[in-house]
Amino acid sequence: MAKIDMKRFQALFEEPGEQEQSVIIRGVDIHKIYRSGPQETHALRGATLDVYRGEYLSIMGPSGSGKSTLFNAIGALVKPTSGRVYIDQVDIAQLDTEELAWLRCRKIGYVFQTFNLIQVMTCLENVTLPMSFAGLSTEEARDKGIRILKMVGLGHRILHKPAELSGGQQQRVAVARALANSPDIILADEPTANLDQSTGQEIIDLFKNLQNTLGVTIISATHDTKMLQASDRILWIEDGVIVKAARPEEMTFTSDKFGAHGHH
Amino acid sequence: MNLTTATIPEQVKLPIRIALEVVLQGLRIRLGRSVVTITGVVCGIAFLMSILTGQIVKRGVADEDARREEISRIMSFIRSDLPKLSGHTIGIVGGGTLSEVEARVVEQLAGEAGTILALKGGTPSARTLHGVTLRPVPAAQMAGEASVIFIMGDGNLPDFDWNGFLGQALNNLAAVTAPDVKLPPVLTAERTVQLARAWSAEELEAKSLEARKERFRSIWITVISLLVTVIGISNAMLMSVTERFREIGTMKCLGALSSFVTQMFVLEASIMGLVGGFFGAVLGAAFALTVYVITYGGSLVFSALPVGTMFLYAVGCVFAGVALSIVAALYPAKVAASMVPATALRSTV
Repeated sequence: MAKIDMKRFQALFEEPGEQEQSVIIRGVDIHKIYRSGPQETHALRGATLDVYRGEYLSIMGPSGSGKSTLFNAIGALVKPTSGRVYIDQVDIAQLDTEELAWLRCRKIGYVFQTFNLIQVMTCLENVTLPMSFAGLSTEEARDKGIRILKMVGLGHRILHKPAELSGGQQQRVAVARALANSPDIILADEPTANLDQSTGQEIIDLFKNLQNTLGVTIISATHDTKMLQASDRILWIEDGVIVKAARPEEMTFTSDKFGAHGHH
Repeated sequence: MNLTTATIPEQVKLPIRIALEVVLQGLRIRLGRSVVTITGVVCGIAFLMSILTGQIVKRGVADEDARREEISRIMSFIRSDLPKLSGHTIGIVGGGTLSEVEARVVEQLAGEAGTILALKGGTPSARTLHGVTLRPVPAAQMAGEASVIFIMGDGNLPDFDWNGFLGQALNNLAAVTAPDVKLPPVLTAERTVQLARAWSAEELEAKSLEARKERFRSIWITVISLLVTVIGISNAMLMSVTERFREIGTMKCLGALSSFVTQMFVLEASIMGLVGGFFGAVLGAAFALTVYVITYGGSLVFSALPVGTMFLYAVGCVFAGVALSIVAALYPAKVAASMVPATALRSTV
């Protein structure tokens, strides 16, 4: 099945060095330039970051700061113009589209602000779809899908269509779908932005729970102070560069802005 | 890091069955939207089919008109000789096969005159002769009983004593309806009446020129209608793919291969093309037939209709529906499939 050049792969793994066992995603000097005609937009200007295995990391920044681009870059959704992104020590720039598909299928689970459930499918089918992409049989996928939906508290809704569910429930289905192939990483792009306070809190609790029980690494781009408070570490991005990294207890939260006290 | 677990194998290639399931489910659930897209295909194919049907009906009607004119000319000629046909006996001699006009003349004669005799061993064969039984008789009997002898068919005449036969005959004349049949020397111009319309060189040239013009016209209108169909179907398929860019982006985030996305849309397009093509062909044919029946009358249209050709055109139209839908869906599907997932997700079409 695999026509992988082992040497090529080993070379990829050696690059970041063996001492950082606990780094699951490493971004080195990421630049991203969007071109539309003569106009060039520098969305990222040399962002460098490490994400540790099992941590709950929040990325914050004003709109236009490059937050979404950084998020997409470390999630293997866009390729950086220059710089490197290593996911589990694999340089994603070296992967072809099929290998990227494999990575997105099994290593990373994505949760979106607008849920992005496939409207024509039931909750269960939404959850089992990535499993069929991973080659699971229909029966295996069904059993696992039901188990995961129960875990996120939607065991009674498995055959409903997304449109029949509330926003919070839809986001839970999206989280269940992200968990389908037992990924190491969950990338959540403003997952609570379209939810009210209490349902947003439920999603945060769910993430926290997944982090604690399954050891999943959670990375979210967010403005939500509750999400920031729940996270282990917060990165602040401005003008395409990461300017601050802090723990939530080092921050003072004033509505949706924050600043670090003294040192950081 | 353990290298043995870190290799990235190729993503699993999904069997076509899964794509088919996803597609069928999608079509069922998005029924309203699917119907709109399929209607686009139906309209395109119905237009094409109605144009094609119109052409064959018009051609068939023109041919039938010419045949009817020929038959009535032959019949009026016979009537001028035998004003009252009933009670008379008609004899047929010849070789080869009866033409459509000849067969129908025989049918009319049988209806009006009653008895049709055929020369034993010297009668042309007929593919269709409705309600007519030819009674095979020897030459002497035919000569004694037949009021008119017809020489018919496109083959060579039987070789026998024409002189004696005509000498015995009630009517010393033979009516010839086959245009190019080679007559024996004894059947001189005085003893025969040529009923087949003879075309002069100018008339033939005019006819072939007209046929050529007609062919160009029909090619032109077919090409135009095909273009209209292509645009109609492309538009419908393009919309149905582009409005799902977001869904495609989501699927790619979940690990769908580009080939899976393309496969899905090709499958969907072929199903829509098949259904749309079928209903389009039926509707288009029905529409054109209705219009021509109203214009020309049912009996003329249906007797002139080449059913086999029409069926072939209908099959061709269904095939065109499938092919055009696939071609029209392939391009946007490929664009969508090769999109960076983040771009596809951002799309709000």
